[in-house]
Amino acid sequence: MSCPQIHDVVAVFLDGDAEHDPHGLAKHLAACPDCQQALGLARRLDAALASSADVAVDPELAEHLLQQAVAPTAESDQTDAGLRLRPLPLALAAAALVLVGVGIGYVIVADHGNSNAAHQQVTEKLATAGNEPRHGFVPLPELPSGLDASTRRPAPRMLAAQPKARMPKHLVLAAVLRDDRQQLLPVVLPALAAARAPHWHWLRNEVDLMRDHVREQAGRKLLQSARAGARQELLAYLALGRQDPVLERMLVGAADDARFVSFVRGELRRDPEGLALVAAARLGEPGLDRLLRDACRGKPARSNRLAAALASIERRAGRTGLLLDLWQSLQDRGLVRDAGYLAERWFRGLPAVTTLELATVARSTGKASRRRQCITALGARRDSRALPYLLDLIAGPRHGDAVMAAHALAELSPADVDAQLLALHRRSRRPHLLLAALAGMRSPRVQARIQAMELTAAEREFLATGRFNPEQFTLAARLFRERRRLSD
Amino acid sequence: VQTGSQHNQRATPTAAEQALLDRLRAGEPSAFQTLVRPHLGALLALSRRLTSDSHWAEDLVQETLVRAFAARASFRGESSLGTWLFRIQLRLARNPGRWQKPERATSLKTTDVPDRLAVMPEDETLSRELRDRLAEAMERLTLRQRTALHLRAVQGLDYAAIAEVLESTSAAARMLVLAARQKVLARMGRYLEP
Repeated sequence: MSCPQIHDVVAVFLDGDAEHDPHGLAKHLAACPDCQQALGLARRLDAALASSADVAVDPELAEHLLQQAVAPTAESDQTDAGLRLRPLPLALAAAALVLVGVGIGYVIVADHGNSNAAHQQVTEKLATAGNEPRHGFVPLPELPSGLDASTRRPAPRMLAAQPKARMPKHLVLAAVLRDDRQQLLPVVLPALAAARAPHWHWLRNEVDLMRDHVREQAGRKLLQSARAGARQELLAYLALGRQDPVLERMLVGAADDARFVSFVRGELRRDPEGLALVAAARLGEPGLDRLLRDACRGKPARSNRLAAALASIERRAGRTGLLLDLWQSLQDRGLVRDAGYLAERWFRGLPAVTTLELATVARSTGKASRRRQCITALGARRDSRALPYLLDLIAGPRHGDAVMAAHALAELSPADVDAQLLALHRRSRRPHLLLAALAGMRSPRVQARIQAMELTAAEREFLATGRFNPEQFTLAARLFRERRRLSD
Repeated sequence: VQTGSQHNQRATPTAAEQALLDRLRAGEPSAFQTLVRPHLGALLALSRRLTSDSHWAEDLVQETLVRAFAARASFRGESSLGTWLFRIQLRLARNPGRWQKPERATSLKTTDVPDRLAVMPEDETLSRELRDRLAEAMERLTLRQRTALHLRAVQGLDYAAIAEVLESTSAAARMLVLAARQKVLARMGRYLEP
């Protein structure tokens, strides 16, 4: 759209009076596709704006706003300084609920005549909540009727009273979180952040149950509040939130906030076991990565948590290196008993870019241990996109890597193996490894195709050995080398 | 119930309105409520556009009304009541510190529970993705650009009225609308293509 008259056309036909067209723009518009398109887009934009702003005003809210506007006349009429924001919506003054827990019971003071029954139910719920088991996967309580959408106020007040009430807050918080009111999230997050680690994953599930638009609004509010100084809530959300576009946007926004990153750094130094570890891992700031390496070096539990935190988000590039470093630090201390299990736990859930990162490291690094980590991880991910990289490694110059790659290939889904790959073994530099990898897939379809292939007796015998592990691959490679030498 | 797009700009008050205005200046709350009620939808729509947060939007409207009522004697009727209210609202939006409680921004631990968050009637009329993109693109505008484009596209105000709200000139208001529209289109052009 390069027509120089576009702005004039839009101004006249959308914003101005088209009947007064002294410059003959109507004629120009009829002949100019650029201007027609620009005008169409501008019209659609205005229509979309009007449609998005077409929000009905709740009559109750309207009444409340109008009542509140004229309410202060008696005490502070006509004075700007005397005006104060009243909490919204105060029609709910009728539903004020104060919870005071003093060890043996709770007293709820409510001045809303019609909600006594609901408040009674809430009281009973809270009173019985303390009897629930505190550990393990506790069934969630039913949402108390006093906490449903028809009740305006009591939930945050009850939450605010939690520490005093000495209730198992995870139970009540979880029940409240099922509601759709996004301001509960910032109310709840500090409590989650203060909760003990065993509750985190459980409570995170409850956060996940919140609807998308709730998270969207809560996310904006948290970012806004973090800029104003309330950073603990944002940190908790970044650590606990599930992967979705909201979290991704928040991670980008939070990483751009230098003061927040500095806050996370401080929190990580102060409490390396806390949520800051997870939030820092997700943020992916290079400065934080150095701290994370220090915090997790030789510590399996922390390393596992960090890996789990990365597994659920679309990470920025370069996070694979952090995980490989942590793996190495555990391995150096003899803390890795089963590398395959670790690789599967750490790398399987990671996003697609991880496959490329692992393959790149495997091809470029000079360290054999790092290459093998990468190949093991490629297999553990069971990602068909690793197939070409693994084939390259099988055909590559390093025999040890080729054996590992064959083992990794056997981990891929048989569904990704096609006839072309089966035929490839003839041309492969290490056909036995490729064949064994395919045979190791244990898929009737693959097995049937292998049976249909023209194999030598030795190959059939080799395949008949059944299970394949890296040692057997190595043995098979030696046997086949020997066979080839003899046949030559 | 009023809606944002139903708001109509009236330059000159009718006789009935004039009588209500006189009662308003005399300090009669019911006159204020009667006059303001038709503008609530428009005020809330602009407020949501300015704050990007439904709760602060309601707070902003409330504060606008409180200030308007407090300053009712200064309303001389030279502009329409709607324009006057928009102007107050924009002034407040420019200085959130004047109406947002500090603890509201710095700690959310005592925040109120919103009442009807699940109600999203616009879902029916505008696809969610388009709405999100639109909100995102609008948020990137300056406050004045956002206000100008909203008042023009949603409320249908003419440039003179927009200029009154912005305390500017008609030409400047026109340029603001053009610039705002251009920026938003650049961000979401393909979403608007048929």
